[in-house]
Amino acid sequence: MIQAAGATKRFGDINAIHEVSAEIRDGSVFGLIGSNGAGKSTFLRMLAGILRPDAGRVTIDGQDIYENVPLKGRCFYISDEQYFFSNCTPDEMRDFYKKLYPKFDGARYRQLMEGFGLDGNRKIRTFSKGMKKQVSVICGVCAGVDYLFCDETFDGLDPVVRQAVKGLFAADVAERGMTPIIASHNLRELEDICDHVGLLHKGGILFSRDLDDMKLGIHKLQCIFDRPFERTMLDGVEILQIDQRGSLYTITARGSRELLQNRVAALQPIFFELLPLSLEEIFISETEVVGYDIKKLIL
Amino acid sequence: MTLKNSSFNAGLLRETLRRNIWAVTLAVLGFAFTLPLPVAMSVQTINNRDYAVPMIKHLEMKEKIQGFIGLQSPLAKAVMIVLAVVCAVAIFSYLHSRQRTDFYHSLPVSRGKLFACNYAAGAVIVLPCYIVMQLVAYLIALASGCGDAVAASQPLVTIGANLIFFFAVYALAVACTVLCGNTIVTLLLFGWSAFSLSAAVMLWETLCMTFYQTYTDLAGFSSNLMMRLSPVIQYLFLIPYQYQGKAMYATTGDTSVWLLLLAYLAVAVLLTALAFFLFKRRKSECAGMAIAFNGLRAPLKFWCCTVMAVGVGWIFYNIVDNSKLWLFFGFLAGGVLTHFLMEIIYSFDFKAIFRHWKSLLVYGAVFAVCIACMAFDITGYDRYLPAAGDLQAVGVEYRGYEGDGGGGAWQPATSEYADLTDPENIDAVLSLARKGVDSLGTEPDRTVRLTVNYLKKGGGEASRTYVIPHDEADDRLFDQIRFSEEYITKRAPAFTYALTGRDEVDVYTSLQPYTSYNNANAAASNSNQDEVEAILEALRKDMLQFTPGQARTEAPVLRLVFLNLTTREEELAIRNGMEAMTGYGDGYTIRSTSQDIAVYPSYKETLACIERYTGVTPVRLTPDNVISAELHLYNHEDDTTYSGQMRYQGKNAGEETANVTDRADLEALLQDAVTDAELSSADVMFDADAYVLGEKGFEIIAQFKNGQGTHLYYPEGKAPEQVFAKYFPQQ
Repeated sequence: MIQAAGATKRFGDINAIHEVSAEIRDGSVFGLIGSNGAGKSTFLRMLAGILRPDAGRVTIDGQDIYENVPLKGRCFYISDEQYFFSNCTPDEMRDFYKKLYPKFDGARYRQLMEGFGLDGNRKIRTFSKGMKKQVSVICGVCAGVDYLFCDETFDGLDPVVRQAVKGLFAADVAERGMTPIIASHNLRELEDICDHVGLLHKGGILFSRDLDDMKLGIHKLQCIFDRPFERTMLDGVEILQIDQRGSLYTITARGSRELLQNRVAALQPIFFELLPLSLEEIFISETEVVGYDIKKLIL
Repeated sequence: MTLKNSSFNAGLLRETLRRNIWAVTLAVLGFAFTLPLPVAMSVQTINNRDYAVPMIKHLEMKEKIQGFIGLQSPLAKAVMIVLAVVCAVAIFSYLHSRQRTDFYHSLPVSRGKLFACNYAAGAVIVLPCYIVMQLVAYLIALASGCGDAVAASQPLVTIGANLIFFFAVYALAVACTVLCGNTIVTLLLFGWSAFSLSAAVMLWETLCMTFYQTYTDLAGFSSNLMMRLSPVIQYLFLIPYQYQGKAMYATTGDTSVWLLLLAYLAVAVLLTALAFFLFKRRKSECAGMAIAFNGLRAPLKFWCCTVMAVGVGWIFYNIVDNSKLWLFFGFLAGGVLTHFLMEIIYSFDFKAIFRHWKSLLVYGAVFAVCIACMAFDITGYDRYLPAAGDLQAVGVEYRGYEGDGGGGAWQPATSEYADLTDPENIDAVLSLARKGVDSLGTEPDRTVRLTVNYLKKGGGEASRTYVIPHDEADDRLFDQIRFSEEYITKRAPAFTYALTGRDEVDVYTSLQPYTSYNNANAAASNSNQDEVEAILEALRKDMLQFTPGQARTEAPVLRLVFLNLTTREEELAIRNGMEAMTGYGDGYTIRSTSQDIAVYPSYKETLACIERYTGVTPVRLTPDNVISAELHLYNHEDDTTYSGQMRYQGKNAGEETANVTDRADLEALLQDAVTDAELSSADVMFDADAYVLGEKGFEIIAQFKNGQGTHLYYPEGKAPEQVFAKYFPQQ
């Protein structure tokens, strides 16, 4: 399990990461979200053992990652600007990684390269940005590591490839318990793959929650009543937000699906519908609760 | 899990080498063009020439080849230095890119192993190429029949020095690359690191010379230090040569070349350890910054400011006629501009020019205080006078009247300038030094330049130069030193000259001025070894008996030149480190390692020996051997800066001349005259300053019947004024 306890990283006068504490369970897909400059890449670089925390600790199974070679052998970092040796081909990169990652799966590499339609002998410098990302992902997935750190990995991938990559991650998580940690500022990209999400803002973590818990515990209700709606009508339900357009009320409330359905049904609405919340909507609701204007934080 | 350490390292090293194959190509080409190719071309060139003496051809070929395969070759050294820097920067410059740093530092490789692999890669790229090319050059030399050139080039020293200096320069370049976050700044820092310490030593010396009245460089200590503090300079100037059949190296001084190489090996190891330490401590996020270690910024900046301030100050000082005002302006301009420049470089932003101006003010104040300390001699440098009990030995140079150049001084036989240990000599030198200290700040008309060297009991050395008022008592004190047995036996040429078993003594009289090592002009020559030794022994005995009183009244009557004899073949052989060979050459004689010694009338035994073994006796100048004398009179006003025997240098538009042929006038001119030949000796036994051209700016040139000519000089008060009055009545 990856743990960050009060991890802090400063770049000169800038507090890139400030006392971040989080836990990432093995075998889950962790989404690290936040606005530009929130510290996602810095946090990821600390997790990958590239940066040493100025304060606090970043550990895997209780051991510090920085300069811990055996631990780093279980991690693969895909940077937002992945580096490839000048003038080299994907196959040469594979050969290099094979020397460093003994579990590197050459057969799977070939299969994936064919699947993605990439030529292993073509110079990487001639590849498009998206193709380079694909090479990085393929190398990362084939490295056979326990932890895959992806920094804006889906940027530049077309929708088909994006889904394919998500499928790859899901398969590895299911088959061998790999833990991808994906940093992105695009919530929609992470929604259908992440089990757990952490929101970083201005170097600090706002919260870190299980996505299912959040989805199950928060709902959006669209109702039309024959009388004006008042909060007191749903006493005992934690209402996060009420939005009224004409006679249509959109209520975001915390509670189980059954509880909310029963409570609203008891009010005998003219129209009632329980809608699922998107990740973006959940975050807007959650962050507004803690006093942040999410529209300024994300996107 | 990672692979086992050993195989992993080799794999990463292979990858690094594969990615830097261009550097291998560069190394192969660089060394091929500086080692085997020039050797092959030299062999071809010399083979195409005709030589009357085969051995000369062989020796010349050997000398040429040696110039390329030995440490003499500046080309191979330059290639080695360039490759060391290029490889270090190319391999470690990944630290200057965030993208590449993230890539390498996310790999399951420890920083230590990453450093070791990269460091080894640079050496593996360059050194095998060098060694192979050096061996190919040796093979070409052997194949062309010049195997002795290989032996004479001292392959072990050559290869050892090249490898060691490669590592010293390479480690320095690696350390600079790790210290910086930008490649251009790395190259600037390397240049600065390689040369700034030497520049600082030079500038420190100029500061001392500017502010201290008594500053003296201790036996070339500063220049040696300048050399030692830069591996690049030391490497380039480590040039082998042959001296008396022994291999010597320029710039090593008294140090053995192996000791020097050992010291630089230690430097290379230390720099490597420093680079390794910095590499491990370096934060990955420093990629792209000018300097990767914040703590280094201020010290580096102020070091640059200091060196540049003094450098610019010195330039201004020299441009504007040694003006202290411009010196201080230079300090200010150099320091401030460097500070601005460094801030711009540190931030990569021109707008940062005025950053940290408060620290600049503090630094400026500290700098000003330091300069003030020197200017006002707060540390008491000029007034330094050790106690006699603290001294192990002393040395002294008492150079005669200021600006005169006469008198001279014998240099010590060894490089140890403080070699007089006799307590009486120590006391006398300290008395002279005390006079120097007491004279500080005075501006007397007639001065004597005095240099004293101290060797303290703890091994420390010090040296001071004073300009003191001329005083008869000081002359006597110096006479006490220079006529002491210790001084003469340690410094007089008759004692320091070493007989080699193939020596010659040439005798010159007043009529045969000494002109060169070639004895064509000598009155007689003798190369009988027993007789040469007998003359030298007599000379040594007489010299120890010579008194200051005799030195004041006697002028030399003969000149002896002792020379070691060799033939041209032997000279070449010696130069090339071979045993002397005979039977090949044309017998042409080379004279080297000479000693020039004056003989006085009091040297009775020497004069007798010379007469016995050469037949030469002193010749007195008379109208019988002098045809005429030219009198020159100079405008006295334009000539006042000259005195004594140097006065004739003041020739100017006011010159008048007269030719004397009248026998009586010639007799008067020659009666007390001393010639050039007698006065130009480096001998300090007699008081050359007592001899002058004349009191009113006269110059007299005598023409001998044998076709030679000479200037004439006179003891003070004995100049033939009446003859001048006759020929220049208006004066």
